[in-house]
Amino acid sequence: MSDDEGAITVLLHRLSAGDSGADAALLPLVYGQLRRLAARQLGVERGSHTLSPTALVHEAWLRLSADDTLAPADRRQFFAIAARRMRQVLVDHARRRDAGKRGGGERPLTLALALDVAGTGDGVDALALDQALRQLEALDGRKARVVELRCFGGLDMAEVAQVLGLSRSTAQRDWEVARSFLYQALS
Amino acid sequence: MTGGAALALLEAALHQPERARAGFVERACAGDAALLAQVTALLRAHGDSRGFLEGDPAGPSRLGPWRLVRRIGSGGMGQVWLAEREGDGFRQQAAVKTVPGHLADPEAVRRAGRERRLLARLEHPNIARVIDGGSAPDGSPWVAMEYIQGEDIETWCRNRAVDLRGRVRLFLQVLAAVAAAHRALVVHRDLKPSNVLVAGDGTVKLLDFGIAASIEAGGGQDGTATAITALTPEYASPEQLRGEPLTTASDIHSAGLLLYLLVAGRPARDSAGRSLDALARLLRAPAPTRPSNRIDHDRLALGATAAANWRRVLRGDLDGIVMKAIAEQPERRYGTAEAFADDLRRWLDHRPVQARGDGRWYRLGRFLRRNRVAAAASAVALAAVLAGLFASLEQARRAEREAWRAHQANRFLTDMVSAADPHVSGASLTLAEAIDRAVAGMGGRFAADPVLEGELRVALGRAYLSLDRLDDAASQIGAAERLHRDAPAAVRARTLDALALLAWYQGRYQEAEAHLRQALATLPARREAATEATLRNDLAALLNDLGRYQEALPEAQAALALAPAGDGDLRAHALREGNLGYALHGLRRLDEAEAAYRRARGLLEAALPDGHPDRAVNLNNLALVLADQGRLDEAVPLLQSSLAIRTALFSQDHPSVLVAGANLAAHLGRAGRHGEARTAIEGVLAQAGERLPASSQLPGNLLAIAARIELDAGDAGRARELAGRALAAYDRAEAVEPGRREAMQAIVDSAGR
Repeated sequence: MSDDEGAITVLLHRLSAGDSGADAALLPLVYGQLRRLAARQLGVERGSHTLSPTALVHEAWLRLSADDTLAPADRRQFFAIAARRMRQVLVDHARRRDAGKRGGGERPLTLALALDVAGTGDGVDALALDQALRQLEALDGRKARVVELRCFGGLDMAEVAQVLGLSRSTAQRDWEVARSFLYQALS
Repeated sequence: MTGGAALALLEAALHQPERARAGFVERACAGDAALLAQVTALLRAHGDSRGFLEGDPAGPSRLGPWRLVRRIGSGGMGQVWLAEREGDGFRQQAAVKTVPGHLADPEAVRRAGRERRLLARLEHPNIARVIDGGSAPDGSPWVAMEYIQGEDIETWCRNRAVDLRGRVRLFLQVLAAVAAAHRALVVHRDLKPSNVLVAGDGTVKLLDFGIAASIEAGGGQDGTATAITALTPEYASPEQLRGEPLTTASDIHSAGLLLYLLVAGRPARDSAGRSLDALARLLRAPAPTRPSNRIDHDRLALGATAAANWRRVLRGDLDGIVMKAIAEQPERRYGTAEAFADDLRRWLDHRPVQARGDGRWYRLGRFLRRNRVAAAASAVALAAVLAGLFASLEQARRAEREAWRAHQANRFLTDMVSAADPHVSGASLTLAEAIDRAVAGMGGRFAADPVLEGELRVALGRAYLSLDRLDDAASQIGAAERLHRDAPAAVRARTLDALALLAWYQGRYQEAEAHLRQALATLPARREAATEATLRNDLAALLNDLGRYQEALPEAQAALALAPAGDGDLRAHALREGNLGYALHGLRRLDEAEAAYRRARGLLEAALPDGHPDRAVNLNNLALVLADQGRLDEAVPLLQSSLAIRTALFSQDHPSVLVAGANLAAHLGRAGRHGEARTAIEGVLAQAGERLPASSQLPGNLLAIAARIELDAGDAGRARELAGRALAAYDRAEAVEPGRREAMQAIVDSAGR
């Protein structure tokens, strides 16, 4: 476990214990961790043009969860934060790739959003999705969170409902509304 | 532009049944045309977006010559379609596997191509064949494979109410496929019920080498990348859950979990989904409990009696086999799929299996148990031999009118005692000479009473057996058999008992069992309780040695019931309790085994002096039960006491001392006391030197324990060196128990890992 991961663990404990100040310290650490993992996944030696956010968050959590002291409450805090940071990581990468594209001619980064639910075939552009999510956030923040947790955090609907404190059917409806909105915005 | 109000209305509409939604929206907008347009568009998007960001696309309709009929599954890296192609008067079906477009980066294409090449070299009746392959217009690869119409292996067994042995036989086909893959240097990495189908004719077919890796192609890096996303947590090995590079040992583990499901009717691990929480939980979960503790009556469709019977058959050896396959640490599993299959075949044949004890020390547990019998036999236990002699003369002593016979026999024995008892004379290890002298002086002494002479020769033969002088034993017991041709049934039964022991020690187990059963059959009912107790006790010991604990148990119980403890001979009763404990240990009824050994211990303390070899055996056996219960801290001092007794009685290079020393070292290692373990085993190896007969497997076994200790202590280099020496020692041995070479080979081969 790296120093950062140790710090993340400690901060998660504090956050679960009600120390809201831990949040601010935690965000950059989780962001840094995800970025390093993403860079590895997209590394030259792998020759990959896709990112799997869910795999990244899995990996990040598995590294943390080697620490036995982490409780379920810590886990929810982690995913709430990691899903949001993951989105930021993807946008950053997309921007860099776009910048590179102007000089080169590389394909724009597409998201492999759903390695878990295999075979989406959705080649979604990271920047466009981020744009649409911002619009959704302005209209209904909770539905944007559902999308983040599902698409960037890799949580299934039961877990999304749990993290947000919603009933399963409410979470499902939130998802369907958000899905409709994003589909419309992106097509 | 869609606004918040439109979203809220869509949400409200979703509460309505689908047909009522349009009407609901129209009423709710109450004439607001702009809002109605927004919500109507959203409703349409709701229908159109099904599957969007959810992973459920329509997919292509044709790939190469194949028409995709319907999707029949989706796996970690793609989807599987039932496909057909038509040619000149034939129609062929196949399972076509696609990799979704967004995953079709160069790496995915390479991976799919590799799967095709891997499978092409796997021609095996239990592995689904590759028929065809190619690339879709967008560059994404596809593979057409033999389409198996069948059920997954667990459903197949359930629907046909296949019994335990039938399930094991079916599972052997799975291992045949896995072994073939491993021989071709391919690791499957995703063995689970849905990848193991049984076709209509009962042939098992292994599917989905989608995340398989070639061992030689250095699949490790790729393995790490796919392990997290593509695995099936309930059937993944610990190293797979941790995202570490995978080897054939991971497949052994997954296959073990599959066997667990088949024999218990439920998975070793409860299905927890693929959530992150579930993954994290699995990583920290304790090892699964034995399958016999988790039988699912409903899923196996068993009534109470049938379930009890199922559990009885499963408990013990088959339990042990499953637990060995799914051991947490790869090196403690079966080294190969073949070794796994061999053990299952041994189980089917009622032969002793490799997977005994806790399965973590390969056959160490069984080895020590086997050798403690040998140790007990060669313990030169003078008191034991004398007790046997006296017991065989019980009849004579009881018959008053034959008092002179008792007197004669007693004098004969007393002469021997004074010459040989180390507790009396302080002399050590002179029993052999004493017996030789007794045999030499026997001629003519009992000419008037051939039956008595025969009984004494049986007793002397037993003494030679304890000294491992089998030829001398055979000549005494053979002479007794001739003398007893016309003797009473009870006398002949005791002679048969000695013949059985001789056959047993010579490795002719079937003959030994036949002698004992014949003796029991000819014994007059109820009138010879003591003799019957002896016979049943010896039968229990023999069956224990053959690993047939289930049959040994009632014999040991009957022996105890026939000759209750208050009936005089405390030592004999302690030995019966010992055999009971041994059988219970073998059946993994550890608490009862412990109780039996503790009863035996109490009896021995009452009956025998400190430092008696029987007490060393008892302490050793009790310690092994405690160790299996995980109570290593209690076990180690007992092993030390056991060793101390032997050290005081025997020369330092006596096998009994060496085995006890190795046993202690092994358990010190298990207790994590690596330094002490190392010192102990080095002492044993130094004592053993070159003095042990090279034809025995003992020298190899001692080196094997040393290798294991070094491995656990973290010195892989030294472990490999010792394992190599163990292999060389085994090469010189006449016979080596199955599995021992493989265990050492696995350590030697671990070099590159």
